[in-house]
Amino acid sequence: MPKKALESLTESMFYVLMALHAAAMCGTDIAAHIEQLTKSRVLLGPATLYTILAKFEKEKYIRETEVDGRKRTYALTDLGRSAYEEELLRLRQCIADAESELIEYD
Amino acid sequence: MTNKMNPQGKRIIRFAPCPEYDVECMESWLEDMARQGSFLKGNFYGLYFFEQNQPAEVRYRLQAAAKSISIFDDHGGDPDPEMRQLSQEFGWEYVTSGRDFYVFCSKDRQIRELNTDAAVQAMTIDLVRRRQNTSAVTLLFILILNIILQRNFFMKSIGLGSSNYFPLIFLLLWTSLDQVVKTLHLRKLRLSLLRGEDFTHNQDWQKRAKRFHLKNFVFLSIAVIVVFGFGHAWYQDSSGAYKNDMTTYTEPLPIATLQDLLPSAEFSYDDFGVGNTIEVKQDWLAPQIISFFQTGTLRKDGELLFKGGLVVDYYETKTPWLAKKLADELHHTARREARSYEDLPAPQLDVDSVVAFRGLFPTIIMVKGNQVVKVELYQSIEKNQWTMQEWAEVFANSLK
Repeated sequence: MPKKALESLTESMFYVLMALHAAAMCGTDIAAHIEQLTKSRVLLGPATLYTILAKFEKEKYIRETEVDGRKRTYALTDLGRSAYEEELLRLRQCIADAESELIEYD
Repeated sequence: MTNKMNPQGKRIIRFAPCPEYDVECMESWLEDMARQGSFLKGNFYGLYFFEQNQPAEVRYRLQAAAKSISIFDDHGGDPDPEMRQLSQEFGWEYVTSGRDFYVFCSKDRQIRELNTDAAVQAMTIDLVRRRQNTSAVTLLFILILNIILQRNFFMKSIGLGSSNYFPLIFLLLWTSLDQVVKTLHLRKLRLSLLRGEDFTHNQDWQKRAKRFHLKNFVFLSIAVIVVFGFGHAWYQDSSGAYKNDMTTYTEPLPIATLQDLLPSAEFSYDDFGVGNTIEVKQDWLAPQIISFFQTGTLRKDGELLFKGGLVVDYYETKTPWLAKKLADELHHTARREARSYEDLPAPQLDVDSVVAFRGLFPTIIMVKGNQVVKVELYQSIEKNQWTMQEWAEVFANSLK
């Protein structure tokens, strides 16, 4: 079993999982997807993207589905999907906590 | 440096002004070089190759490698093709690699950074730090194993030549310390990334360059001395420069020989094709080292009184303390290396200390002042056998 990865997911990592949750894609498409989704708020540099993909592949969160020359396409595994969903749940909880705090304060 | 001084296309070679792991310094240096019209093209063990062209503002970035870089790895020392492809698509060109970092550059100041997530970058830096940690620990372990656990430091020093061995140990300690410094630096780098601090790309690398070059020069000089020292010692040994024929050796010896067992008897050498050689050496720790192997016969009035061989290792050390340490190490090594080992009662001798044992043959190791002697004697006749007390006395009394 991998370590509790959800605790160590950075924002970039979370967005990579999010992109691959939507569809299998290659590194460049992942970066473009995130850029578009976040309206350029989250930009992934190539080294960051490559490191995240390598780490996720090692932890079996993603798997390679196609190799076209130097370009590799990745898809989320069940483990990656559950990691993403758990993190989503945690973030939702965070938002819910924050909102309830705001209501109390108001 | 102006363009006139360095025509376009001309290649120049420079030593890095700091170690590769000092990412900020390296990136600052490479960017300064580009501003002066020198563009990085490659490197070889700390030597960096540049090509002259129009000065330009170029961003250089060192990217920590997940695994140690080697020309024997899957990609011949280059980054993974996917990494290269991704970088290219984002406007970053791969230039060269060092031991733990790949160098990328971009002339476009507007494109996004190679690393955009400090925590992810810290993760890769940490991989390099862990590798360093492992090699530092391994090296220190080897040193400790060699120096302390094997208990033959002085024996080894004298055997290999202290003038070679001490600088070698010094170099190994230096390398271990360097690894520790590298580990600490990478840790600092990682923590600063995690704190959200950006790398500085305008560091005054010149300030550190002199110290770094001097350090490298000293290290390299010692390494060259060590290599030549060991080479010379090996050549001297293999060419038999220290070896003399015992049968014709006439220099006075500080220790008894077979002839001295019974001076009134007639001594003749036995020639078995081995032995009857003497080696005389010098060392920092032991100014006089004599080793000989004698085989012979002692006769008196036609009667055979001794037939056998003698192996002697004699050391005159710098201090009596060193003599005691060396004797301990000789004994420890003999005990460890002998196929069969048996302690024997030590003979009563007029020396500072003595131990006796049977390894291959009956052996004594004795210390007197700053002299250490290991004597092995074998006798190949049943009749007229010498007791250890008898022959050991002859050797002990011959010491100053």
